[in-house]
Amino acid sequence: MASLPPKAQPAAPFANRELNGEVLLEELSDLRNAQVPQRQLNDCASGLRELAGVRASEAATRIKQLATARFAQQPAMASLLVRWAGRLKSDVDVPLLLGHFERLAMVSGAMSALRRASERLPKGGRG
Amino acid sequence: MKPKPVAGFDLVSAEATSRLDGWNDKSKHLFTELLEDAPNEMQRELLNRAVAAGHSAAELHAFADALRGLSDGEAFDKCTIGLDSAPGYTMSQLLKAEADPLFAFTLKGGELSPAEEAAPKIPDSHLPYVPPPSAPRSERPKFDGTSDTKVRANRPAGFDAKDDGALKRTAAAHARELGASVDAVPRPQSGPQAALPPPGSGPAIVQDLLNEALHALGVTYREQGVDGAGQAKLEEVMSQAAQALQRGMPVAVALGPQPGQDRRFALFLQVQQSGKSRAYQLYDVLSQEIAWINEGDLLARTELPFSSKQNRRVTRIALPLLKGF
Repeated sequence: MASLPPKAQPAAPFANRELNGEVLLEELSDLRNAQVPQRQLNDCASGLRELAGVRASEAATRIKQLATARFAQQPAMASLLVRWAGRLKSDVDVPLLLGHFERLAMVSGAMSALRRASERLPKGGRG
Repeated sequence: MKPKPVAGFDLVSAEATSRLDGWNDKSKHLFTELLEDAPNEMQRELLNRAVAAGHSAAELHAFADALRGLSDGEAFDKCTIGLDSAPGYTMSQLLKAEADPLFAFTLKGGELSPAEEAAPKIPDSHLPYVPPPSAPRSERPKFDGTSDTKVRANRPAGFDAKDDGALKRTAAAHARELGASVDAVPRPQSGPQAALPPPGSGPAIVQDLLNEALHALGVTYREQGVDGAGQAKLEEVMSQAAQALQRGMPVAVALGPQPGQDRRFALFLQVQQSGKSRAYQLYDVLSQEIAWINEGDLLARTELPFSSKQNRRVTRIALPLLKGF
């Protein structure tokens, strides 16, 4: 019986345990410093959803197009997209990249909400 | 043709009636009007069941408004969930949706518009003291219409924002942002005779802000206290949290020394599973500390790996309702 081909492994940046932890927080910090609004993160996540099921090579091309077409006025956002597009090595990386940007938008929104909600806690949430 | 008026609460179940007993007269009147305005028996029954499930008058108001324009079939579809059509939901969500049409409605993506959205449930202890009508009372501070609590807190209109009483007044004002239903927010009975709140209920502190921030991404959060009387245990909610995190959705929590004592907010970013053990990555939003925590340590409720050692447990959690993914 023929053995199954080995399952493709994600490229190193996508296999990093901190992809959606410390890496994500660092990226959010950069985006925040660049004053990228939440709406742009939401738009980015929505735009990338269309790439579900697309092959890595095509996804990389389309992400770069997205960066230049939609985020030309936001260099920090555009450069983040282009950087990640360049890290796509195989098809298994694509959903991981989409998930990363989805989380980026959600964590950013949630953090903003929690900061505001902290004002409702005793000592402004620093207790 | 105007629907036939409903006399009193004749059509309301015993369970809903017992809930209504805890409402004030204006809330009861509002509910009567909602029943009268409902276009058919089925919508009245849905409202009846939502009351029995423990929702507030404000939530009922928003729910009734959302249902009113729907046909029988549409309303039924939006408020019921079948196992075959909901493979992504947890069993506890399905069971809750079975008994609570409002929960099913939101679980299936139904939206209560911001103008109609239920006002945050504010604990009695956070509401200002309301003297009896005969007692002399000073004029209440007036707040502007913004939802930004900071704007209100910074107003120098006769009270100090750092004063505990000011916080209570701010919370009370926020609770009244639902249209004109100032008195529709039910005041829970207090004292030893007060009934325990139903599981999952309780004052929401962050739910409205989370939903406002993440609405565009198709995620809705439902907040609940943890480990308090009548509340879910941490073990129960963490299994749901793990599912949400595995789907890529962050989970917001409050940390504190004891149940009901919410001191800081934090965000679960991700979960990793190895065999039967899980580890969660938790991020303290204000101190910006981040740590991996074994599930066993989290459930021990004795210490969290942050600099503030007194906040040793999860006291509140906001879980995403899985929709749009």
